[in-house]
Amino acid sequence: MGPALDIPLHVKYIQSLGENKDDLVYHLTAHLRMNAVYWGLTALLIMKHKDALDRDEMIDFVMSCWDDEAGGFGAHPDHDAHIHSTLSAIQILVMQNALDRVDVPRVVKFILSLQQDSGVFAGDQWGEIDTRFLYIAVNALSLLGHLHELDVEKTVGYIRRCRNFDGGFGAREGAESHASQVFVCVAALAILDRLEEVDQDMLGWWLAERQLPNGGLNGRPEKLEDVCYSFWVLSAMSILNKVPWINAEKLTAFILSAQDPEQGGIADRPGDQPDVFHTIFGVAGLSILGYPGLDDLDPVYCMPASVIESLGLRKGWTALPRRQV
Amino acid sequence: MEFDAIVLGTGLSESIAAAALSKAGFKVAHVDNNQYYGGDEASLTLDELAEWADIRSGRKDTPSSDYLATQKERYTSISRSESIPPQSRQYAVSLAPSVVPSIGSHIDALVASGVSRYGSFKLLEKVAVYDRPGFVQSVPGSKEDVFKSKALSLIDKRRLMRFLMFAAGEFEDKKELEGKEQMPFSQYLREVFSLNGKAVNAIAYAIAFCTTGEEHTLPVLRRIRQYLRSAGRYGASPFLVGHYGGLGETAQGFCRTSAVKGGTYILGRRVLSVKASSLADSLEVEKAASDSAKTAARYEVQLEDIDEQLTSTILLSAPDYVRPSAPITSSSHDVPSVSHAHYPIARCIAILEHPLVFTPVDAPEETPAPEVEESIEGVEDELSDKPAPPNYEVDTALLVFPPGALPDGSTTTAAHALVTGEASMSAPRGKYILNISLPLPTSDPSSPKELLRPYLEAALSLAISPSSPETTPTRPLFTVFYTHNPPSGAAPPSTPSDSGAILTPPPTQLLPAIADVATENAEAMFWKAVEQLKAAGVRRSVVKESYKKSDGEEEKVYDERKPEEIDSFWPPLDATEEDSSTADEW
Amino acid sequence: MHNVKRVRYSAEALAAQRQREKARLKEFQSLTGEVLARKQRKDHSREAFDLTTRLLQINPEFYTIWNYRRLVLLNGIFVESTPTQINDVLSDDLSLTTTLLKQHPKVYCIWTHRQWCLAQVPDGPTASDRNGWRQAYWNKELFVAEKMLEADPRNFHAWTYRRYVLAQMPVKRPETADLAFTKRKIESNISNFSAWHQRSKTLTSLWDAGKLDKARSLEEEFDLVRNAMYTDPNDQSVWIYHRWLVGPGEFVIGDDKGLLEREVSSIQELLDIQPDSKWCMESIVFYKKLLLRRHGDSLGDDERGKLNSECEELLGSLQSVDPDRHQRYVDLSRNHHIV
Repeated sequence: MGPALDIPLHVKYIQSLGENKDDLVYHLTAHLRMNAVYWGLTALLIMKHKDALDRDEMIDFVMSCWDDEAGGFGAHPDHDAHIHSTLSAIQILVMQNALDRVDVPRVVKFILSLQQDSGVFAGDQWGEIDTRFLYIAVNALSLLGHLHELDVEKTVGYIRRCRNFDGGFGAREGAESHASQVFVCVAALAILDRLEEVDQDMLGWWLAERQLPNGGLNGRPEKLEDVCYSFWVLSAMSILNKVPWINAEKLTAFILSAQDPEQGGIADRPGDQPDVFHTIFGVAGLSILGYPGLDDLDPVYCMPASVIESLGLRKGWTALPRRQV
Repeated sequence: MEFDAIVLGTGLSESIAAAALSKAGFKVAHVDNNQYYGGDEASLTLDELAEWADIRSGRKDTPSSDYLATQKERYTSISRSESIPPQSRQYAVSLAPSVVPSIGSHIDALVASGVSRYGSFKLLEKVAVYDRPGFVQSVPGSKEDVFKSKALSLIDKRRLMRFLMFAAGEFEDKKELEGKEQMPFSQYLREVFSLNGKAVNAIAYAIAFCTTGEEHTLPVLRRIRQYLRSAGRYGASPFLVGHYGGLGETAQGFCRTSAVKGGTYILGRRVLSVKASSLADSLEVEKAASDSAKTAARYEVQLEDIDEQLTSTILLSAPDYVRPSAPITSSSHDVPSVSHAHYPIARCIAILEHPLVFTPVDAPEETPAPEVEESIEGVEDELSDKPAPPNYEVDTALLVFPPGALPDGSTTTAAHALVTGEASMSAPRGKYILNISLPLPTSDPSSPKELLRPYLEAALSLAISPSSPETTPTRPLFTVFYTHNPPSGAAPPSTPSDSGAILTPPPTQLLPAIADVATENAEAMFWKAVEQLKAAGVRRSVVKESYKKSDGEEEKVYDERKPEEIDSFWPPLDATEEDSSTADEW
Repeated sequence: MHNVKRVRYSAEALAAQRQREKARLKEFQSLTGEVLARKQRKDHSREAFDLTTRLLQINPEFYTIWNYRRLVLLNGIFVESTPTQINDVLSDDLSLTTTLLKQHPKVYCIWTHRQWCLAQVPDGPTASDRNGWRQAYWNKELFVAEKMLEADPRNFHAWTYRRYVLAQMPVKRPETADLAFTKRKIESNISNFSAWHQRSKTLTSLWDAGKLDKARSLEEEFDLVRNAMYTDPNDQSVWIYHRWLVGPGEFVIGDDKGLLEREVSSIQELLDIQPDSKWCMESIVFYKKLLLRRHGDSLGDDERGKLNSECEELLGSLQSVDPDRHQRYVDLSRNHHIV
């Protein structure tokens, strides 16, 4: 028997993240702050500790990152707007039931302005493209209730061109299949109700083969395991209703073994330094695996299932049944 | 002059032990009869090598000493070329040719001691088996080699890979090994893994570096596992070759570390006498100086031209300086990874002016280029799709002669030839040092020159490219032949073996094991020394900090510590390494 | 030495490191404040440019600073420069990103900035040689991408960038060169699926364009992959590539049934000497099912029944050989009878 999920310790760890202002690392990761807040908040909600962080303070922080010139959110006050931090901001506000603070039409305009002729989205005005940004756009528009403004065919067309013979998807046309890109493409197709674009048997096979003998999942063939793939791979499997195709018990044990038993948090693999990114994706993975004592996570949006249900956005995914303690 | 420990000889083991003792806070005097560091593992310029040979052959007269008497027994049948080639100082010839596995006790010691910051290494480029004049066989030592090989059939590929996977894993409890731990290794490969002659030779002599095919299977498998696991740590090859002549330079690095920690170095002085005072005498002295923290010195060493005696509590020594006694028995810390018979070795050092060319027997024919319908004009060479014509020239590589490889060579013993060139900083541009070793399990009346001549000729046949056969075979610029005998009890140094002196256990001559065995021996000596010093109540003083004064002098502040337990061979390093750029130059 | 293991350090050494870090934090914070203030007041001076360099050297992931740097270039430095000067500035920026990529090979912002720089290269050096600068850069870019792949052959940023470079070069390289490149990569590590993937893309493109004899090159690929299978039957990249070679039908050439049967029996031979090989079993099931799907009509009832029961048997073995994916084999077995 390995360790159990130490929820109180992880809650403390997430609370402590805002208090390490003397650490160089804290400041060197300012460009990820908005995402980090989303990761931390989601993890807290899944662990049923919604109130561990101050709601007003959080909403004030989000609003302080508004980039009025671009019409989107940056990752930190005075940082430029970017589609990624914009989605995180929206997700935080949705989870805090504070979406009324946002100028929705402007944000929708910002997001739609980033779609390229090929159908993919750029991250900002500087033109970096990636299927991640496409998913972000689809996700954000859906949360904002403006999906009808999207050119669905154009968008799906790009995803289709990113599909590889192994059933997976890459970051761009021609790119190798990668579990995180598989997640964004499959989740985007799920939101757009276009899962028929996926070769489900082939992709299910490819995803199931991500599990290594030690229980952990890798992101590509012949690579090392990493806790974050617990979410990227599992979410896609959950959307395709194929979670039972891997060994849930071994993966659960692997995620739990990557906990830091002293300061809390979850790392990429056992013995490494934890961070909030791997903490949320470890907890998210455990939720899909039916780990007891957690709330359901919606694998399409990576947000609490109850929040997505209340918006009427739930899709036909299945996770493993929640186990009792 | 009073020390906690006197160390006689600067061979690799003694140097590592001296560095560890200095780092642990003991006061060390380190002495060598020679002008250079490294003892029997030294790296020498050609001038030094010639002088080294002449002193030991008796061609050059030098004042006698116990050390020299032993050395003359150690190195016999020495013959060398008369004239020394130019640029002689730009060579670093190793008396102990070796390659260092990327995983093992030696690399661990280099890193943990910080000595790795002084020295640098080059990956061994290639290991090949001699096939016939002008050609070698590639050694399928990795998955990629096996995959690429054109010489192996599909079924052979599978068999070879099965063995390599087995040998890289935890085979101790596997059924393939059960009851066959002591089977001769070449027989084992044939019977258990259905491998054939060439594959057996490659595995036994070019992957495991066996001396004969009779070696027992289990220790050979352990060696192979270490080497297979070493591949990939610093690059494709499992082995590193030290710059500037290998182990001699490394030994010097450890000496430098010892000196930084306060060790005193005295080189090029004959040891006139080594005396151990009796325990009773020591007790007397101790009583007289009852308040002193130190116990009385038990050893007295008299050096040539130094009036004052060196005295110490303990003595560590290479076997050539004192009468050998039973080797140190291993405690739980140290299980030497190699148990290996100690044979005399016939050696040849040759200086070449052409590189060796390892043309494989299965070198691909000029493959027809795929049908290209587009022009490649305007594309630089480095970007061209055509791979450069295969270049099999090597700079730092190992050539293996399995038993029976040469009509006039040994039929029972493998020979190994290490070539090192400019890329390992051991020879001037365009020159190469060839170092051939042939173990002699049975006594042979032939001279090393006669024994090794065929091997030298065979190696030289590779120094001309087979594509230009009109070139006349290259002649070496310089050669030394000699027999290197294992330490024996025959020499009569003056110090009795039962004096309690810590003697360096015998080394191995197995190319990839020399450094690891020397390190494991050093660790055994270190723990023995710590035990004796502790029993004598010697306190350690540790350099607490050292800083540069304005005049550039280094100032050290010592911190007297309680005799707390020493828990590791190397203490934690004093400074965190700055992020060293690991990127290659490009 | 590279890749030196983690070493134990004394408490004093760690304390000293913390002290050094404090100083770095102070520097970083004041630099960040200064640069963001200049950005706010739209300072597009050379001085501002140099400050972004310093800041990015400390934190190359600070995307806002890269954005600001580009604004300074576009609105400040380029405005006052000749094409030659612009070219020089871009050349320096590319060097900066090369240095940063060596330390941070997976930071998106650096790759993005590199690509942006190339798009800014002006015509030149002369009116008659308008692509001269560009071609020189593109050749260099290919070299850099391939160097990055030497350091990490699975770096997907470098693979993506390399594909981009190959597509953008004013003077294209023949696509066949990519076959030699991917083969070299595979030969130095057969587990490098990135290289197998790239190979599949290149071959498809060459076949589609009629630049390569498909039947002959397919046979060469089967030979390559068979050598890889025998070398390491547990390497999944090899099996995934094999599955692509056989193809889901769209690559059918000549006698597809014969090809399928030949590959099944070749894998069966390997399974005979490697009886616990999961990938052999899994692949045989897949190809036999394919045989049933594609050629079921031309097979007799006996033949179909035999194939079905052989698959059934293998799926049973797979459940015990590969227990982690037990349920998948159960599911496959359930909806197995295809025809």
